[in-house]
Order: sequence, then structure tokens, then C-alpha cells
Amino acid sequence: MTADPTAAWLEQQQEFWSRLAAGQGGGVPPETLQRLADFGSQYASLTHEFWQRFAAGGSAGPADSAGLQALFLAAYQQALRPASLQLPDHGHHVAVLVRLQQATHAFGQLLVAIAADAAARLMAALATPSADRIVSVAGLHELWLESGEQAWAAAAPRADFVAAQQELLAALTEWRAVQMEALDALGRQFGLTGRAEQDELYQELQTLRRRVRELERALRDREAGSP
Amino acid sequence: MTPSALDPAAVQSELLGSWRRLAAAIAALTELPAVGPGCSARDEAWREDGVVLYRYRPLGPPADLPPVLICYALVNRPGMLDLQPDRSLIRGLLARGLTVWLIDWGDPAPADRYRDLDDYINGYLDRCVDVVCAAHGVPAVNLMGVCQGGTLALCYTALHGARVRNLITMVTPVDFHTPDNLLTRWARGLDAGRMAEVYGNIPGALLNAAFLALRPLRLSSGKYARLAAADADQQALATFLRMERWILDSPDQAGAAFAQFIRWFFQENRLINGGLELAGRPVELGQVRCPILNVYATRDHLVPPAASLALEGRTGSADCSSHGIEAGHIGIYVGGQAPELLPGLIAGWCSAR
Repeated sequence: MTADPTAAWLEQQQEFWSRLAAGQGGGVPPETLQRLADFGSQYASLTHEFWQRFAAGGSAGPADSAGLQALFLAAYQQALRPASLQLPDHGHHVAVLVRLQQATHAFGQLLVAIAADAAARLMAALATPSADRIVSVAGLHELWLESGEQAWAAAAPRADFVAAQQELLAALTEWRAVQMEALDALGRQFGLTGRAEQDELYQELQTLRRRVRELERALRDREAGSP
Repeated sequence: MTPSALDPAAVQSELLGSWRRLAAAIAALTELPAVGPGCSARDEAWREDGVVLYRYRPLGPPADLPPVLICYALVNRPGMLDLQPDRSLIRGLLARGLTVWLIDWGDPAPADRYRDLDDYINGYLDRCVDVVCAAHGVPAVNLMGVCQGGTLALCYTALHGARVRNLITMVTPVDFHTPDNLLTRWARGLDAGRMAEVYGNIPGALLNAAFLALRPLRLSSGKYARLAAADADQQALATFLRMERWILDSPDQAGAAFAQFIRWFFQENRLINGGLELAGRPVELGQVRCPILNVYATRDHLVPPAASLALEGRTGSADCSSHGIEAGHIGIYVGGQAPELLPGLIAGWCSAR
């Protein structure tokens, strides 16, 4: 048993990244392979350091929780932004994430209001004489479903609901976009094909498919003697 | 407040019983065999880019009618039309001697994100009509469009009228701006172009979520509470499983086609307001001149009856009739009366033309 179990992990990680880089097939430029290996090595070192700091901070006990938090934050930021890599504008990412959180919160507030309306409708229904006919949980559940659907049907077409729902979807879409941008930026630094290049090929492929089919159609028409 | 008629001891007993039945139903579900895409025998007749044209094997003596080509929606899968032997529109048509062909649009691959409505309508659909016409030696087919597939079929017929002998539109949205159309309200402000730009193909799960959100409690808690009632009834559980698979297994949507459909139909309502063009050619309902059978469901929460009935008086057909069936959007195919009523209606209508 070694004194520092993470040292063995570090060694394995570095070997993994090194083998991964070496195992890439032909056509991958040597500098890309080197960057891949460097990135892996750096990533592993940072993670190793993080755990060492975690262990050191942890042994200081709860009294040093603020210090531990600072260590966490520093290590986390460092791990997310390795020195050799340039990620896209961090501020933009944060703004999009905040937008998503705000949209989620706003939509959640509406759901809470709908749930409250549903509860009020259920209570009102239970206060009517016809509620005496409910003699089972299944009947009560059915009344709850109906109350909920009524509340939903009243809220779902409203302009504020539609706006909140659309903002949530738009925010989710933008969050997805920044995630993809980050991956693209990372990939580009390793010489990997990005989404833009891929999409360009897809578009060209679709154009070629259409052209082939036009030609096939023209050929068939010609064989059939059409003008 | 607790209803006075609810007895605490009875409630406890009922709840325990429900949970036991639900547990038994779930256990029985895990024992059921895997659910297939349909129940009727069919052969693959043509395939291109994942789009497949199937020809169903006959079940009865031929009725000597032009073949029926089913153009299903791009959302969801066509298995709903052939769910199981006692709930199958396709079997009903086959049993009446009709020859049935079906287009399965398949799953768009990432490389298909630029596939647009022109590709679907003037491309794949037109080539499927080619295959069916060639197989039967006829110049035109009986085209049956289902839901969004009906909208596509209307566009196709407007552009290629000579190739459609009769048109059957089933629960088809024509006017997307009727006041009771909740989906349209939700879709009107959607930046579908941006979604397609970011996602590529639009995840089927996203559309599923939207469909389920139309009636969130009935389609979740209500449905699973009913599962307890199925208990260990193998037949009921098998039907439940098939329905679940169909509901939750939606294909992704080719990004470009999705964006066009949202903008042109949901947002701009071009079939009604005009301005729809495909490959530079105007698409107008007035160009649809063949006989039309327009079938709608009276309790449809996805495509309100008014959205389908808007077809009346807007086409160039002298023989356009609408027929309402007392059912919901899906119940029209799998509800109690559907297996007999719908195939009989369609076969009778086709044979008279």
C-alpha cells in the first residue's frame, strides 16, 4: 500500500492519455497527438492536486471550512481552465446559465400557481353536495385529476404561460449552444473537426442527394418519352 | 377537508389493494415479450436514406381498387395504425380487399438535418408514389394522409394532382389558427430556426414532452393509475405496453423540415392564408381537385375538429366530404368502435369512386 494512493491513480491516468494519443490512427497530425497527450497529463495533474488539497483542507477540520472552500474554488477554476487551453468567453456562458436558471424559476413559479389553483378547485369540488358520491380513493383521485386538468387548461393558453414556456425552451436551446461551442473550441485546439465543418459537409451531402435525384428523375422521364 | 363518505379503514384497504395490483401489473409487464412495430405481415418494397416503403400482404380477396398509400406524420411512428390484430386500421383495410402501402419515415441521421419539406413531399413521397404506381400499373394512387401526414398529402396532391386518384385526410390540421389549438399557441413564438441550428435534428423526446403537456395529469398519473386496474390481465397489459412504446418512442425530426413546418403552418398558417411554396411552385388548396374524404375525431385534443373541418370549401374538389368519428386523436384508430367503423368507411368510400 502506497503512502499516497492518488499517486498511482495519477500514473495510470497519464499512461492512459499517453496511450490514447499514441493510439490515434493515421491522418491525425503529430502536434494534435502531442496536445492530446499534454492535455491528458495536465488534466490528471490538476485532478491529483485537487485531491491533495482536498485531503489537506479536510484534515484541518470544520473550523477551516472557509479555507477549504477557497481551495475547492481555486482548484475547480484551475481544472476548468487548463493553462494551455483557450475556452470561449466564460462571461457569456455564465450569462446563459443565469438566463436558464431565471427561466426555470419563472416557469416553476407558474407551475406552483397552477398547483395552487388545482388544489382550490379540488377543495371547492369537495365542498359541493355531489362530493358525497365519492366513496373511494379512486373517486377522489379522479376528482383531483379533473381539478388539475381544469387548472392546467385555464393556465396553459394564457400569454404569461406561453411566454414563460418559450423563454424556458429558448434558454435551454442557448445553454445547449454554449455547451457545444465549448466542446468545439476544445476540439479545435486538438485539431479535431468542429460542428461547423461537419454541418458544411452535411449540407453539401443534402445538396448532392437532391441533384442525384433530379438527374434520376430526368433520366426516367427521358426513357419514358416525356418532354 | 375529507369527504364524509370516505371511511378511513376502507381507504387503507383500497390503497393497499391498488398498490398490490399495480405491483402485480408491473411484474407482469416485465414478463411480456418485446413489442414489435406492428402486427400485420409486410414486405419492404423500397428504401432510401432510412425512409422505407412497405407493402402489406393481403388478408382477403382483392377488391380491385387502386392501392392505398398511407403517408403518416413525421412525428411519432406509424405502428399506431397496426397496433394489434383487434386494433388495426391496416388489417381492417386489408380484410376488405384493399392493397395497403405505408411510408415509414424512419429516424433522420445527424447528416439529414438539412432535409426539408420539399425533400419529403416532392422527393420521398413522390418516389413512393412512383413505386406503388409501377407495381400496380396504375397512373394514380389512393393517398391517405394521417395527422401531419395529411398536411403533407394535401401539399403533394396540390402539386401532383394527376398522381392522386382519391385523397383521404385523417385527423389532419388544415387551419392551424383555430382558437382551441393549444399547440399552436405554444408554437407561435417559437424560434424553430434557432432550435434547428443548435440541435440539428430536433429530439423526439422534446416533442413528446410537448404532446404530453397538453393534458399532463390525464396522460401521466391518470394513465398509470389505470394500469393498476389492468392487474394481471395479459391482453390489457400487452395493449398498455404497445401504447406506451408508441407514445414514448418518437423519432427525431429533421431540423430543416421541422423549422419549415413550425413557421409555415403553425405560425403563418399558409394553407389558409396563402404563400406556401415548395421548390418554387405555389401550393394552394384550390389545386386539390380529386375526391376527398376528410375524417376527423370529435374529441381530438391535438388537432381540434375545427382545424380539420377548415378543409371544406377551400379545395377545388367537387367531391369533398367530412366525417366525424366520436373519438380522440388516437382513439380513432384504437378505440372500441374504430376497428370496424373506420376501415368500413374508407373502403366503402374508395369503392364508390
